[in-house]
Amino acid sequence: MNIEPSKVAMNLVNGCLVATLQFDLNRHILDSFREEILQKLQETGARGLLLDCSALTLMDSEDFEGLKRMTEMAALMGTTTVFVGLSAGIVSSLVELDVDLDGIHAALTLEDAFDRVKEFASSKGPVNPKS
Amino acid sequence: MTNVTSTEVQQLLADYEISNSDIEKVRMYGKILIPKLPDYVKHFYEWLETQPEFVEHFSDPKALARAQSLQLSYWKAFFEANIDDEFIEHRRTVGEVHARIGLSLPVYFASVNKSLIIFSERLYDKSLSPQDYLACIQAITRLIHLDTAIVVETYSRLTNQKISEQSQALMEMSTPVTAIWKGILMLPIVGIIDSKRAQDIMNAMLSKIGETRSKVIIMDISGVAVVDTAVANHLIKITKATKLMGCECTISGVSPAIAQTIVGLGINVGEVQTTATLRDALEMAFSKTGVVLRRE
Repeated sequence: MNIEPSKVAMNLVNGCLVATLQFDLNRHILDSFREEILQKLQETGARGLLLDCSALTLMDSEDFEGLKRMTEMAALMGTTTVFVGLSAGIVSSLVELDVDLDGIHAALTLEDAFDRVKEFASSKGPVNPKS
Repeated sequence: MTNVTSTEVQQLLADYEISNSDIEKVRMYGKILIPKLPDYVKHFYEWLETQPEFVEHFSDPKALARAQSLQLSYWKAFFEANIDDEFIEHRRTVGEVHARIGLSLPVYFASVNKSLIIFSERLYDKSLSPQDYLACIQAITRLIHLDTAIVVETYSRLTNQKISEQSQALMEMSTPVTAIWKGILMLPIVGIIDSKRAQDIMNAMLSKIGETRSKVIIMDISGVAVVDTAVANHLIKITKATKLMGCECTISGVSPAIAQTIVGLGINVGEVQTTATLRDALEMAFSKTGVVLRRE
Protein backbone atom coordinates (compact mmCIF):
# COMPACT_ATOMS: atom_id res chain seq x y z
CA MET A 1 0.00 0.00 0.00
CA ASN A 2 1.38 3.34 -1.03
CA ILE A 3 0.64 6.03 1.52
CA GLU A 4 1.22 9.71 0.89
CA PRO A 5 3.17 11.44 3.64
CA SER A 6 0.95 13.37 6.06
CA LYS A 7 3.22 16.43 6.11
CA VAL A 8 2.71 16.77 9.85
CA ALA A 9 5.67 18.45 11.50
CA MET A 10 7.35 16.25 14.12
CA ASN A 11 10.15 17.28 16.45
CA LEU A 12 11.88 15.55 19.28
CA VAL A 13 12.03 17.94 22.24
CA ASN A 14 13.24 16.93 25.73
CA GLY A 15 12.69 13.29 24.94
CA CYS A 16 9.14 13.94 23.83
CA LEU A 17 7.87 13.75 20.29
CA VAL A 18 5.94 16.92 19.45
CA ALA A 19 3.60 16.57 16.47
CA THR A 20 2.01 19.78 15.29
CA LEU A 21 -1.22 19.35 13.38
CA GLN A 22 -1.40 22.35 11.09
CA PHE A 23 -4.49 21.58 9.06
CA ASP A 24 -7.83 19.93 9.64
CA LEU A 25 -7.71 16.16 9.52
CA ASN A 26 -9.20 13.60 7.20
CA ARG A 27 -8.93 9.84 6.97
CA HIS A 28 -5.98 9.74 4.61
CA ILE A 29 -3.96 12.18 6.63
CA LEU A 30 -4.82 10.26 9.78
CA ASP A 31 -3.75 6.94 8.29
CA SER A 32 -0.37 8.14 7.11
CA PHE A 33 0.12 10.24 10.21
CA ARG A 34 -0.43 7.18 12.40
CA GLU A 35 2.12 5.18 10.43
CA GLU A 36 4.68 7.94 10.64
CA ILE A 37 4.15 8.62 14.31
CA LEU A 38 4.43 5.00 15.40
CA GLN A 39 7.50 4.56 13.23
CA LYS A 40 9.06 7.66 14.72
CA LEU A 41 8.22 6.56 18.28
CA GLN A 42 10.04 3.32 17.71
CA GLU A 43 13.06 5.09 16.23
CA THR A 44 13.39 7.71 18.93
CA GLY A 45 12.10 5.84 21.96
CA ALA A 46 10.32 9.00 23.09
CA ARG A 47 8.54 8.67 26.42
CA GLY A 48 5.89 11.23 25.57
CA LEU A 49 3.90 12.16 22.50
CA LEU A 50 2.45 15.66 22.39
CA LEU A 51 -0.25 16.28 19.81
CA ASP A 52 -0.41 20.01 19.27
CA CYS A 53 -3.95 20.72 18.08
CA SER A 54 -3.92 24.47 18.67
CA ALA A 55 -4.05 25.25 14.94
CA LEU A 56 -7.13 23.09 14.38
CA THR A 57 -10.53 24.71 14.01
CA LEU A 58 -12.58 21.59 13.44
CA MET A 59 -12.48 18.05 14.70
CA ASP A 60 -15.30 15.58 14.23
CA SER A 61 -15.84 12.45 16.25
CA GLU A 62 -14.22 10.29 13.56
CA ASP A 63 -11.02 12.33 13.59
CA PHE A 64 -10.99 12.21 17.35
CA GLU A 65 -11.60 8.46 17.47
CA GLY A 66 -8.73 8.02 15.02
CA LEU A 67 -6.40 10.06 17.20
CA LYS A 68 -7.60 8.26 20.29
CA ARG A 69 -6.87 4.86 18.76
CA MET A 70 -3.45 6.17 17.92
CA THR A 71 -2.88 7.13 21.56
CA GLU A 72 -3.86 3.61 22.57
CA MET A 73 -1.32 2.18 20.12
CA ALA A 74 1.29 4.57 21.45
CA ALA A 75 0.45 3.49 24.99
CA LEU A 76 1.10 -0.13 23.99
CA MET A 77 4.51 1.04 22.86
CA GLY A 78 5.02 2.65 26.27
CA THR A 79 4.40 6.25 25.32
CA THR A 80 2.05 8.67 27.06
CA THR A 81 0.08 10.90 24.70
CA VAL A 82 -1.06 14.38 25.68
CA PHE A 83 -3.42 16.49 23.56
CA VAL A 84 -2.28 20.09 23.56
CA GLY A 85 -4.26 23.26 22.97
CA LEU A 86 -7.68 21.92 22.05
CA SER A 87 -9.94 24.94 21.60
CA ALA A 88 -13.11 25.51 23.60
CA GLY A 89 -15.21 25.06 20.45
CA ILE A 90 -13.69 21.70 19.58
CA VAL A 91 -14.02 20.40 23.13
CA SER A 92 -17.61 21.50 23.44
CA SER A 93 -18.56 19.87 20.15
CA LEU A 94 -16.74 16.64 21.04
CA VAL A 95 -18.61 16.43 24.32
CA GLU A 96 -21.88 17.13 22.53
CA LEU A 97 -21.08 14.32 20.09
CA ASP A 98 -20.78 12.08 23.15
CA VAL A 99 -17.26 10.97 22.35
CA ASP A 100 -15.69 8.66 24.92
CA LEU A 101 -13.11 10.83 26.64
CA ASP A 102 -11.87 8.35 29.24
CA GLY A 103 -8.16 7.91 29.47
CA ILE A 104 -7.35 11.04 27.47
CA HIS A 105 -4.69 13.38 28.77
CA ALA A 106 -4.76 16.99 27.74
CA ALA A 107 -3.03 20.28 28.44
CA LEU A 108 -3.55 23.77 27.22
CA THR A 109 0.08 24.66 26.52
CA LEU A 110 3.15 22.71 25.48
CA GLU A 111 4.84 23.63 28.74
CA ASP A 112 2.03 22.09 30.78
CA ALA A 113 2.10 19.07 28.52
CA PHE A 114 5.79 18.46 29.22
CA ASP A 115 4.98 18.60 32.93
CA ARG A 116 2.19 16.08 32.46
CA VAL A 117 4.50 13.67 30.68
CA LYS A 118 7.09 14.10 33.42
CA GLU A 119 4.46 13.35 36.08
CA PHE A 120 3.48 10.14 34.33
CA ALA A 121 7.04 9.09 33.77
CA SER A 122 7.89 9.56 37.44
CA SER A 123 4.75 7.76 38.61
CA LYS A 124 5.29 4.80 36.31
CA GLY A 125 9.05 4.67 36.34
CA PRO A 126 11.00 4.13 33.14
CA VAL A 127 8.43 3.20 30.54
CA ASN A 128 10.59 2.57 27.55
CA PRO A 129 13.50 0.24 28.14
CA LYS A 130 15.14 1.49 24.97
CA SER A 131 15.64 5.04 26.16
CA MET B 1 -68.02 49.93 0.20
CA THR B 2 -64.28 50.44 0.36
CA ASN B 3 -63.45 47.03 1.67
CA VAL B 4 -59.77 46.53 1.02
CA THR B 5 -59.38 43.02 2.37
CA SER B 6 -56.05 41.29 2.24
CA THR B 7 -55.81 37.51 2.21
CA GLU B 8 -55.03 37.50 5.92
CA VAL B 9 -58.24 39.33 6.71
CA GLN B 10 -60.25 37.10 4.37
CA GLN B 11 -58.78 34.03 6.04
CA LEU B 12 -59.76 35.36 9.46
CA LEU B 13 -63.28 36.14 8.31
CA ALA B 14 -63.57 32.66 6.79
CA ASP B 15 -62.24 31.05 9.98
CA TYR B 16 -64.93 32.74 12.03
CA GLU B 17 -67.59 32.21 9.34
CA ILE B 18 -68.32 35.90 9.09
CA SER B 19 -70.10 36.55 5.81
CA ASN B 20 -70.93 39.87 4.22
CA SER B 21 -74.47 39.58 5.49
CA ASP B 22 -73.10 39.21 9.01
CA ILE B 23 -71.15 42.41 8.55
CA GLU B 24 -74.32 44.10 7.28
CA LYS B 25 -76.10 42.91 10.42
CA VAL B 26 -73.38 44.31 12.64
CA ARG B 27 -73.68 47.63 10.88
CA MET B 28 -77.46 47.52 11.15
CA TYR B 29 -77.23 47.01 14.89
CA GLY B 30 -74.51 49.62 14.96
CA LYS B 31 -76.97 52.21 13.68
CA ILE B 32 -78.91 51.73 16.90
CA LEU B 33 -75.88 51.46 19.15
CA ILE B 34 -73.29 53.96 17.94
CA PRO B 35 -75.30 56.95 19.28
CA LYS B 36 -75.62 55.13 22.59
CA LEU B 37 -71.94 54.24 23.02
CA PRO B 38 -71.35 56.91 25.70
CA ASP B 39 -74.05 55.14 27.72
CA TYR B 40 -72.21 51.89 27.18
CA VAL B 41 -69.01 53.36 28.54
CA LYS B 42 -70.92 54.54 31.58
CA HIS B 43 -72.47 51.12 32.20
CA PHE B 44 -69.20 49.40 31.56
CA TYR B 45 -67.21 51.44 34.07
CA GLU B 46 -69.92 51.08 36.66
CA TRP B 47 -69.16 47.39 36.46
CA LEU B 48 -65.41 47.76 36.14
CA GLU B 49 -65.22 49.91 39.28
CA THR B 50 -66.38 46.92 41.27
CA GLN B 51 -63.39 44.89 40.03
CA PRO B 52 -60.20 44.75 42.09
CA GLU B 53 -58.07 45.52 39.00
CA PHE B 54 -59.78 48.87 38.56
CA VAL B 55 -57.80 50.64 41.27
CA GLU B 56 -54.55 49.20 39.99
CA HIS B 57 -54.96 50.42 36.41
CA PHE B 58 -57.24 53.45 36.57
CA SER B 59 -56.40 55.27 39.78
CA ASP B 60 -55.24 58.19 37.64
CA PRO B 61 -58.31 60.11 36.28
CA LYS B 62 -56.35 61.07 33.15
CA ALA B 63 -55.59 57.44 32.36
CA LEU B 64 -59.23 56.62 32.96
CA ALA B 65 -60.45 59.31 30.56
CA ARG B 66 -57.96 58.14 27.97
CA ALA B 67 -59.00 54.52 28.30
CA GLN B 68 -62.64 55.53 27.99
CA SER B 69 -62.13 57.54 24.83
CA LEU B 70 -60.07 54.70 23.33
CA GLN B 71 -62.82 52.29 24.21
CA LEU B 72 -65.37 54.53 22.54
CA SER B 73 -63.44 54.62 19.27
CA TYR B 74 -62.74 50.90 19.54
CA TRP B 75 -66.42 49.98 19.62
CA LYS B 76 -67.30 52.61 17.05
CA ALA B 77 -64.88 50.96 14.65
CA PHE B 78 -66.34 47.60 15.65
CA PHE B 79 -69.91 48.56 14.73
CA GLU B 80 -68.82 50.30 11.54
CA ALA B 81 -67.35 46.90 10.71
CA ASN B 82 -64.86 47.92 8.06
CA ILE B 83 -62.77 44.85 8.52
CA ASP B 84 -59.49 45.52 6.81
CA ASP B 85 -55.81 45.44 7.70
CA GLU B 86 -56.12 48.61 9.70
CA PHE B 87 -58.93 47.10 11.77
CA ILE B 88 -56.85 44.01 12.54
CA GLU B 89 -53.78 46.12 13.27
CA HIS B 90 -55.77 48.19 15.72
CA ARG B 91 -56.86 45.03 17.55
CA ARG B 92 -53.23 43.95 17.77
CA THR B 93 -52.33 47.28 19.35
CA VAL B 94 -55.04 46.72 21.93
CA GLY B 95 -53.54 43.32 22.73
CA GLU B 96 -50.09 44.87 23.03
CA VAL B 97 -51.36 47.50 25.44
CA HIS B 98 -53.06 44.87 27.58
CA ALA B 99 -49.91 42.78 27.66
CA ARG B 100 -47.78 45.80 28.55
CA ILE B 101 -49.89 46.95 31.45
CA GLY B 102 -50.27 43.35 32.58
CA LEU B 103 -54.05 43.23 32.49
CA SER B 104 -55.01 39.65 33.16
CA LEU B 105 -56.80 37.61 30.53
CA PRO B 106 -59.72 36.61 32.80
CA VAL B 107 -60.49 40.30 33.38
CA TYR B 108 -60.28 40.92 29.65
CA PHE B 109 -62.64 38.06 28.86
CA ALA B 110 -65.04 39.19 31.57
CA SER B 111 -65.00 42.71 30.11
CA VAL B 112 -65.76 41.42 26.63
CA ASN B 113 -68.58 39.31 27.98
CA LYS B 114 -69.90 42.25 29.96
CA SER B 115 -69.78 44.46 26.87
CA LEU B 116 -71.74 41.89 24.90
CA ILE B 117 -74.42 41.81 27.58
CA ILE B 118 -74.63 45.60 27.68
CA PHE B 119 -74.95 45.79 23.90
CA SER B 120 -77.46 43.04 23.51
CA GLU B 121 -79.67 43.69 26.51
CA ARG B 122 -79.29 46.96 28.29
CA LEU B 123 -78.88 49.24 25.29
CA TYR B 124 -81.29 47.47 22.96
CA ASP B 125 -84.33 49.62 22.11
CA LYS B 126 -86.43 46.70 20.77
CA SER B 127 -86.83 48.37 17.37
CA LEU B 128 -85.86 45.27 15.37
CA SER B 129 -87.93 42.24 14.53
CA PRO B 130 -87.04 39.17 16.64
CA GLN B 131 -85.42 37.44 13.64
CA ASP B 132 -83.28 40.46 12.81
CA TYR B 133 -82.36 40.89 16.44
CA LEU B 134 -81.23 37.28 16.69
CA ALA B 135 -79.20 37.50 13.48
CA CYS B 136 -77.61 40.75 14.63
CA ILE B 137 -76.58 39.28 17.97
CA GLN B 138 -75.13 36.20 16.27
CA ALA B 139 -73.13 38.33 13.87
CA ILE B 140 -71.86 40.54 16.68
CA THR B 141 -70.86 37.51 18.74
CA ARG B 142 -68.82 36.14 15.84
CA LEU B 143 -67.10 39.41 15.25
CA ILE B 144 -66.37 39.76 18.96
CA HIS B 145 -64.84 36.29 18.93
CA LEU B 146 -62.59 37.33 16.07
CA ASP B 147 -61.63 40.48 17.95
CA THR B 148 -60.88 38.58 21.12
CA ALA B 149 -58.80 36.02 19.27
CA ILE B 150 -56.57 38.70 17.75
CA VAL B 151 -56.13 40.48 21.06
CA VAL B 152 -55.36 37.27 22.94
CA GLU B 153 -52.99 36.05 20.24
CA THR B 154 -51.00 39.28 20.46
CA TYR B 155 -51.20 39.19 24.23
CA SER B 156 -49.80 35.67 24.51
CA ARG B 157 -47.15 36.30 21.86
CA LEU B 158 -45.86 39.30 23.78
CA THR B 159 -46.01 37.50 27.09
CA ASN B 160 -44.05 34.56 25.66
CA GLN B 161 -41.54 36.94 24.18
CA LYS B 162 -41.11 38.58 27.56
CA ILE B 163 -40.59 35.21 29.21
CA SER B 164 -38.00 34.11 26.69
CA GLU B 165 -36.13 37.41 27.06
CA GLN B 166 -36.12 36.96 30.82
CA SER B 167 -34.87 33.40 30.60
CA GLN B 168 -32.14 34.57 28.24
CA ALA B 169 -31.08 37.19 30.77
CA LEU B 170 -31.24 34.57 33.50
CA MET B 171 -29.03 32.22 31.48
CA GLU B 172 -26.43 34.93 31.08
CA MET B 173 -26.48 35.63 34.78
CA SER B 174 -26.40 31.95 35.66
CA THR B 175 -22.85 31.15 34.54
CA PRO B 176 -20.61 33.46 36.57
CA VAL B 177 -17.21 31.88 35.99
CA THR B 178 -14.64 33.85 37.98
CA ALA B 179 -10.91 33.62 38.34
CA ILE B 180 -10.30 33.50 42.10
CA TRP B 181 -6.56 32.89 41.95
CA LYS B 182 -3.90 32.64 39.31
CA GLY B 183 -4.77 29.45 37.46
CA ILE B 184 -7.86 28.73 39.55
CA LEU B 185 -11.40 29.34 38.31
CA MET B 186 -14.55 29.06 40.31
CA LEU B 187 -18.16 28.63 39.28
CA PRO B 188 -20.91 28.55 41.86
CA ILE B 189 -24.07 26.95 40.49
CA VAL B 190 -27.38 27.86 42.03
CA GLY B 191 -30.78 26.52 41.05
CA ILE B 192 -31.77 23.87 38.59
CA ILE B 193 -29.54 22.33 35.92
CA ASP B 194 -31.22 21.28 32.70
CA SER B 195 -29.46 20.31 29.51
CA LYS B 196 -29.64 23.85 28.12
CA ARG B 197 -28.07 25.29 31.22
CA ALA B 198 -25.47 22.52 31.40
CA GLN B 199 -24.48 23.42 27.85
CA ASP B 200 -24.24 27.11 28.76
CA ILE B 201 -22.17 26.32 31.82
CA MET B 202 -19.83 24.15 29.82
CA ASN B 203 -19.34 26.73 27.09
CA ALA B 204 -18.74 29.51 29.60
CA MET B 205 -16.23 27.37 31.49
CA LEU B 206 -14.35 26.22 28.41
CA SER B 207 -13.96 29.68 26.95
CA LYS B 208 -12.85 31.05 30.31
CA ILE B 209 -10.30 28.25 30.67
CA GLY B 210 -8.98 29.05 27.21
CA GLU B 211 -8.77 32.73 28.09
CA THR B 212 -7.12 32.42 31.48
CA ARG B 213 -5.13 29.20 30.90
CA SER B 214 -6.32 27.94 34.24
CA LYS B 215 -5.28 24.55 35.59
CA VAL B 216 -8.06 23.99 38.10
CA ILE B 217 -11.72 24.84 38.13
CA ILE B 218 -13.97 24.47 41.14
CA MET B 219 -17.65 23.93 40.47
CA ASP B 220 -19.62 24.53 43.63
CA ILE B 221 -22.96 22.73 43.58
CA SER B 222 -24.08 23.45 47.13
CA GLY B 223 -26.80 25.67 45.67
CA VAL B 224 -28.14 23.05 43.29
CA ALA B 225 -31.62 22.05 44.35
CA VAL B 226 -31.89 18.56 42.92
CA VAL B 227 -29.30 16.15 41.63
CA ASP B 228 -30.75 13.30 39.61
CA THR B 229 -29.24 11.03 37.00
CA ALA B 230 -29.53 13.63 34.26
CA VAL B 231 -27.89 16.37 36.31
CA ALA B 232 -25.10 14.05 37.44
CA ASN B 233 -24.44 13.06 33.85
CA HIS B 234 -24.29 16.70 32.84
CA LEU B 235 -21.79 17.39 35.61
CA ILE B 236 -19.65 14.41 34.62
CA LYS B 237 -19.72 15.55 31.00
CA ILE B 238 -18.59 19.02 32.02
CA THR B 239 -15.68 17.67 34.04
CA LYS B 240 -14.58 15.52 31.09
CA ALA B 241 -14.73 18.52 28.79
CA THR B 242 -12.57 20.64 31.08
CA LYS B 243 -10.09 17.79 31.29
CA LEU B 244 -9.67 17.94 27.52
CA MET B 245 -8.62 21.55 27.97
CA GLY B 246 -5.96 20.44 30.42
CA CYS B 247 -7.91 21.76 33.37
CA GLU B 248 -8.98 19.66 36.30
CA CYS B 249 -12.49 20.11 37.56
CA THR B 250 -13.34 19.62 41.19
CA ILE B 251 -16.95 19.50 42.25
CA SER B 252 -17.39 20.99 45.68
CA GLY B 253 -20.37 21.37 47.93
CA VAL B 254 -21.56 17.78 47.71
CA SER B 255 -24.06 17.66 50.54
CA PRO B 256 -24.99 14.44 52.37
CA ALA B 257 -28.31 14.45 50.52
CA ILE B 258 -26.63 14.76 47.14
CA ALA B 259 -24.08 12.07 48.02
CA GLN B 260 -26.90 9.75 49.04
CA THR B 261 -28.86 10.32 45.85
CA ILE B 262 -25.82 9.82 43.65
CA VAL B 263 -24.92 6.53 45.27
CA GLY B 264 -28.57 5.54 45.57
CA LEU B 265 -29.13 6.08 41.87
CA GLY B 266 -26.06 4.00 41.17
CA ILE B 267 -24.35 6.78 39.23
CA ASN B 268 -20.74 6.07 38.47
CA VAL B 269 -18.94 9.35 38.92
CA GLY B 270 -15.70 7.74 37.76
CA GLU B 271 -12.63 9.87 38.17
CA VAL B 272 -14.51 13.04 39.02
CA GLN B 273 -13.04 14.68 42.09
CA THR B 274 -15.58 15.76 44.67
CA THR B 275 -15.34 17.49 48.02
CA ALA B 276 -17.88 18.32 50.68
CA THR B 277 -16.92 21.95 51.11
CA LEU B 278 -15.57 24.73 48.99
CA ARG B 279 -12.75 25.07 51.49
CA ASP B 280 -11.45 21.58 50.81
CA ALA B 281 -11.69 22.13 47.09
CA LEU B 282 -9.76 25.37 47.38
CA GLU B 283 -7.03 23.72 49.45
CA MET B 284 -6.77 20.98 46.85
CA ALA B 285 -6.59 23.54 44.08
CA PHE B 286 -3.83 25.41 45.92
CA SER B 287 -1.75 22.30 46.34
CA LYS B 288 -2.24 21.37 42.68
CA THR B 289 -1.12 24.77 41.44
CA GLY B 290 1.69 24.92 43.99
CA VAL B 291 0.30 27.83 45.99
CA VAL B 292 1.43 27.89 49.62
CA LEU B 293 -0.49 30.09 52.02
CA ARG B 294 1.32 31.36 55.07
CA ARG B 295 0.19 33.62 57.89
CA GLU B 296 2.47 36.64 58.37
